[in-house]
Amino acid sequence: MKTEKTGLNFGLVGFSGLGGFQEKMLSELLDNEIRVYGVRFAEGKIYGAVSPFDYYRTAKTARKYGVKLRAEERHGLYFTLLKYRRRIGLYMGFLVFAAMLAVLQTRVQDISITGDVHKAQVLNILEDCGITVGAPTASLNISRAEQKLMLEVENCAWVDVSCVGFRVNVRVEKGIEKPEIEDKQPRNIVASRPAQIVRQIVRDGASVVNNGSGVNTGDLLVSGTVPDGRDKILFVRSDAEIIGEWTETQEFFVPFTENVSVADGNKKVFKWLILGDDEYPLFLGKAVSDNSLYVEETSLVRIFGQETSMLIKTGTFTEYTEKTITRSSEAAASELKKQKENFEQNFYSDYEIIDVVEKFYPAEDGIRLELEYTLQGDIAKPVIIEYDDTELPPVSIDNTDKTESQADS
Amino acid sequence: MGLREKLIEYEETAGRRFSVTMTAESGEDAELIIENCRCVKSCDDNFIVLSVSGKDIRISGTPLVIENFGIGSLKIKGKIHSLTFEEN
Repeated sequence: MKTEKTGLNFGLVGFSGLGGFQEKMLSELLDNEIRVYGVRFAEGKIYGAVSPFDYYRTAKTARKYGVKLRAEERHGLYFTLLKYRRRIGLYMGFLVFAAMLAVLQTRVQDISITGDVHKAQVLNILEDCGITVGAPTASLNISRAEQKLMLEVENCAWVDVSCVGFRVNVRVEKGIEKPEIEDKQPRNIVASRPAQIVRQIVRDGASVVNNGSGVNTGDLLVSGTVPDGRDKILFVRSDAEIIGEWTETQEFFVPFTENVSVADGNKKVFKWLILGDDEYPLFLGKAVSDNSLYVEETSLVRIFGQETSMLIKTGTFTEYTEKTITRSSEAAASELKKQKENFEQNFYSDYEIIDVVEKFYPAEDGIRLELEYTLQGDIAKPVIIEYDDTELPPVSIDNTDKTESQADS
Repeated sequence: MGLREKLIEYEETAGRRFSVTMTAESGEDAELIIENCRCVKSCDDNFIVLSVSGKDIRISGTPLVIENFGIGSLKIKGKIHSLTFEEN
């Protein structure tokens, strides 16, 4: 018959008892609350099983009632441990493992950052608060780190820093960006530079200049104070596009002989293995090289032609070397043209170039280029009208009052 | 009646009360649970006599296996043929 055993069993000792008062022995075991499993009687013998911890009491009770008790099968955790009791190495290994686990748990081994935030920034803030890999977990100042993150991370809604085991979990959530609200403060529009007015598009406000007229920097172009037709003046937020024309002269010089830095020196190549968010350097020391051009590329790792989730990052430092170059007059002119194009792209992209006069002046050591630009562009510069709300409500001009007071006087 | 006397009475009543529950399925061994039993009068492979507060419970069956659980609770498994109550 299958014996059903429930509960936490460290082991069982099967026994058989012969002769004596078996019923009395069983009654006493029941009375002493000793749990006996699978008791059966056959051929004048009693069979059963008890916990190894209760066997001594069972044997004592059996002796009391003249039952010859004999231990038979023994199985369970208690006996397994007893079997390996001389295997010191096994226990030592287990103890060392437990000790390592306990010791490693006392220091931070990993920092996990989640949320739409720059990890480097968060790591720097945590470092300032003493939370780094290797820091003791017992002395982490988590509330300080949370406060600092709230203050230093831009538009931070809430922060949660917690230490679970040896891992520090950081969660940073940002708030919803504020919508841009148009400023309604009244303003004038003035000239941002000296120019001649070519054309103007006034959306709001009153234009005070005519096309063709010349203006200087800061001159009023569009006024934000507008009469409303009922002898009152309204403050408005002027909005206009005032296109002016002006001339500018630029000079460039290219020498025939020049010392330049060219990245064609010694190359140093460093590789990293990328697994998820982690990078493992495949070299010793630091990936640093002075006065060098750094180029980085990433490629997938393939094993037997199959793509894996691993990446290899290759960083190449190429040292700059000083070189003396000599140009012909054609090459110098070409270099000047290149400089001119770069300049126009960088500084005149917002303007329309109406005309440009190029003048080349060859010299002994190089060529000088003089450029005279005629440019057109928006010269409108908004300026807020400042007034005191308490003293100056929208200005009211009442001619009737004035005439009456004049008549009175 | 004071609280102490009430408690003593409850204890005595609980000592006199016993329960027998039998669970059986066709083709399977039956299971007999006897609560508040602390004395096995006689037993062999086919008969077990238990003494429960002034009564004897006589169980016959093949083969009968006893297990105990909790305090004063017994579980008897096997093909039970009869169950008899006798006054002492």
